[in-house]
Amino acid sequence: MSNISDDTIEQVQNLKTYEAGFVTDIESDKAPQGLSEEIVRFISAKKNDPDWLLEWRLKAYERWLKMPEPDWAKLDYPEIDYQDYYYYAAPKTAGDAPKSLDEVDPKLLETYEKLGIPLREQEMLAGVAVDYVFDSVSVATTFKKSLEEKGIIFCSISEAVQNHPDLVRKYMGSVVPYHDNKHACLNSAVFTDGSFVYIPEGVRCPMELSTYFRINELNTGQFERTLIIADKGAYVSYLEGCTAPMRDTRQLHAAVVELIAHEDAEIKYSTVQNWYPGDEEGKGGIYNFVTKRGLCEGKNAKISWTQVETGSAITWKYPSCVLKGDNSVGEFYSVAITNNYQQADTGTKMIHIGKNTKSRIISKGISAGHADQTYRGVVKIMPNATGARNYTQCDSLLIGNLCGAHTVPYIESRNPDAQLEHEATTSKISDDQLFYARQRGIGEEEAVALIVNGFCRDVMQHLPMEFAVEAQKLVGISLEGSVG
Amino acid sequence: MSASKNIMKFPKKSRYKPETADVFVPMEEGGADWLRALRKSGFDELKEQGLPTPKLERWKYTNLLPLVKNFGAELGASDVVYEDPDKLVQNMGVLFEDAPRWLIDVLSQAPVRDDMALWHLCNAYIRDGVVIDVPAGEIVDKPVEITITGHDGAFFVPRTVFRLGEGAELTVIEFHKGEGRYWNNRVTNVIVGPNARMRHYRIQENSADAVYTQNTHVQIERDGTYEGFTLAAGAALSRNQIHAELSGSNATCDVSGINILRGSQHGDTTLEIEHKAPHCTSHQFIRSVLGDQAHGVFQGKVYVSRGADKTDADQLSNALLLSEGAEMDTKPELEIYAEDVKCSHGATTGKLEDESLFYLRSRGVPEDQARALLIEAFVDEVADKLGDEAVREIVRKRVEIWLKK
Repeated sequence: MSNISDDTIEQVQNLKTYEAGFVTDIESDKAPQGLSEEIVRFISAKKNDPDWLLEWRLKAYERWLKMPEPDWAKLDYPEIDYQDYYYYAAPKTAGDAPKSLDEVDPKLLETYEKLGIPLREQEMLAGVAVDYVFDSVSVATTFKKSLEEKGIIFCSISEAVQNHPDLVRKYMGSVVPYHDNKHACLNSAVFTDGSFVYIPEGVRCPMELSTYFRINELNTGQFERTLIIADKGAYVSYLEGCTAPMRDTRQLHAAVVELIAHEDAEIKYSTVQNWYPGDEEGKGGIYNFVTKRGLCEGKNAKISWTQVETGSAITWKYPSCVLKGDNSVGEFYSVAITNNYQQADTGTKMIHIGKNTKSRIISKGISAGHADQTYRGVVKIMPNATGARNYTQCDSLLIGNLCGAHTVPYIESRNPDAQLEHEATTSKISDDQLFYARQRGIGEEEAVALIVNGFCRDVMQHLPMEFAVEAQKLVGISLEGSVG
Repeated sequence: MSASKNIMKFPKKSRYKPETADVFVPMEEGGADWLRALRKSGFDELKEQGLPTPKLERWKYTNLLPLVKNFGAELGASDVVYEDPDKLVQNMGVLFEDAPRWLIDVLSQAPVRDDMALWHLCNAYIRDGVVIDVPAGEIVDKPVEITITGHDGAFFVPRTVFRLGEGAELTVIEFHKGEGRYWNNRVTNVIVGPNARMRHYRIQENSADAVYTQNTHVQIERDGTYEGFTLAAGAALSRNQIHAELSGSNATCDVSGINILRGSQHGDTTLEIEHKAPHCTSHQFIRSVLGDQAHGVFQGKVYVSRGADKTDADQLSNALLLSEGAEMDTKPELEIYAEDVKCSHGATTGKLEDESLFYLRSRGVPEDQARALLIEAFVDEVADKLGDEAVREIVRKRVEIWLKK
């Protein structure tokens, strides 16, 4: 611990009393409710941040105060009371976690059952307080070892700040600056968790990296910040999230993900998001505000986003690619399913800067119940992006007559040599298809799941094996109760 | 968690720029009560919003302000000439002396969206315009041709109303032209009665320094058909904005356009088709050819209300960029709240295909001619779909002339 951070802690300790009237004990596991400069300092001290990071957090907080809330998305939710949330909580202790699966919501267990998740994993996902001295610890250790041999750094962002400060300082905020948007500001100010990946030059990461294996970091945060760097010629595939619904009582989530692909490097980023979507009446549910952006820095770099979004009450998420290097490639494959009162405004941005850059967007949206869903995407061709190429396809499926599906693409071309194509359709599940399936004795819900899975196939096939099978089941589960 | 405490307030940015309306002064008093009320409401709205800036979502790609800065202090006039064999055209200014109720209602209708300062601008200075009212059952064979000529320095804001009774048919061709710098800002209302058919063509060849902004609101009742087409070849900046409402079942709305622009011309086509009743059909088909530093914009929207089942709507925008510096911005939007619909859109942007060029060149067609042929073929696909043969010919001729320039 450096002297400076000692000072900081001391300062914070001296403050003692906060405006809100709380007395803070630096040793406590929870920051007081609400957000203020003191809280930001508190988090920073807790995380043992170096000076530059504290400054960065404070700058982000300043900007956050001044920035208007983004209101352009087609989302309808009550004004967020930012002072009503806790911004720092240490990982759950055994004390307040359920003692066994018997104490867990049976609905959740039912879902696990359907997904075919083994008992041990169920316990882990539900946050049951058990000793994790079982298989996955040794698995994780073996993984870590083989990664280290190749020079790959894979750790939590907090560890990276301590152990690889130069790398973090160089890249953090280089793709998503702290002042990028209001939610990114908030994340920059209070982030506590997330992953850091660095793949050295010429290394092909031998396995799919997943937060799942960082079992010491089970308390995946509300304000995650992930930074992945693939040096020249490197390759990495990263999996985020999990098909199983996570037990999480915190409502506000604002994550930031930054990817940097150097010359000839490739990053594949897959997400399955299944946070609590709220109940059938639309009560509760997670607000998920995510800023994800990848930079194809060098020539021939490639970044590919694949996402399956089925959870959250509100989703605000646009994984994007900045195609700066010549011949670089950006891809976006997305399936978004909204049911009941869920709302999702999601899509991508492809910014073509380099010559012969290529991008491909395949988006499939399924809206059921009272849900509303919007695809919002930008394809921008800068004047120098000669030979750029984009293909976009976004299809929406409506199930039931109370939902909505919307498509808002922005296509901006400033180069005559660029070729852009955009297609979109909106329709319902065809009666013929449904009839065909029903005729063969397949139940209505099952038939819908089957047809929807066929509709999503173009995206699903881009998911890594680990996710693909479960994601298909998830489609069926998410649409439960939407027909009949 | 406690209910409502002091929710943090963050700054809000207004999208409007009221100060841009400072140049406009209220019109002198006079006229009937409804007319004065309309002028006042138009003027008040204008003062509140100011002129549209790119801060407004639907003006994102079009920056009007720099080109109209010095207009508005006084109202100019334009020459309007009719080719009207059946004597259908009525002068709005004359009608104002004893305006029929239906006309007052149409003119006083509030615009459907809230970013319509230019609509209010027309109301603030409402003075004259053209009215055509075709009674039920009357089929007008010969098209009505209206030629509007602008003069240097003029700023004019005419309103136009076309009403078709049940089963009526009408074809109108508008020619827009002029000399020098002027600003032609118009609002047109079209009411297509049950089973009526309106064909509405615009040949927009305003002078290279002119600004042309037009807003059309179309209402189509059951079994009615509206076919609207615009050839945009003129004006430094043009904005062709149409909002069509399909309010009765089985109505049809076709809106198409050809934009041929070069130099530093800016051509904006903003369409919104609102399906409010079931079993309606709509098509949007726009092709743009952009040379030099021309800037083309297409914003199209299909809105399907809850209950408007069996809607069949499509949208297509194709753009050809002929040179470096040209820019095309496309925003084809779908907003759908009904389940049983078939909606699609497509958009492409690119250059002339090398293969096609090579094909023609290898058969001995000189490069210039080969290009011209391909461009002609490209825009012809829009012209081919027009219902009126005479207009198809007019459009082809204009494109041919444009290509030779």
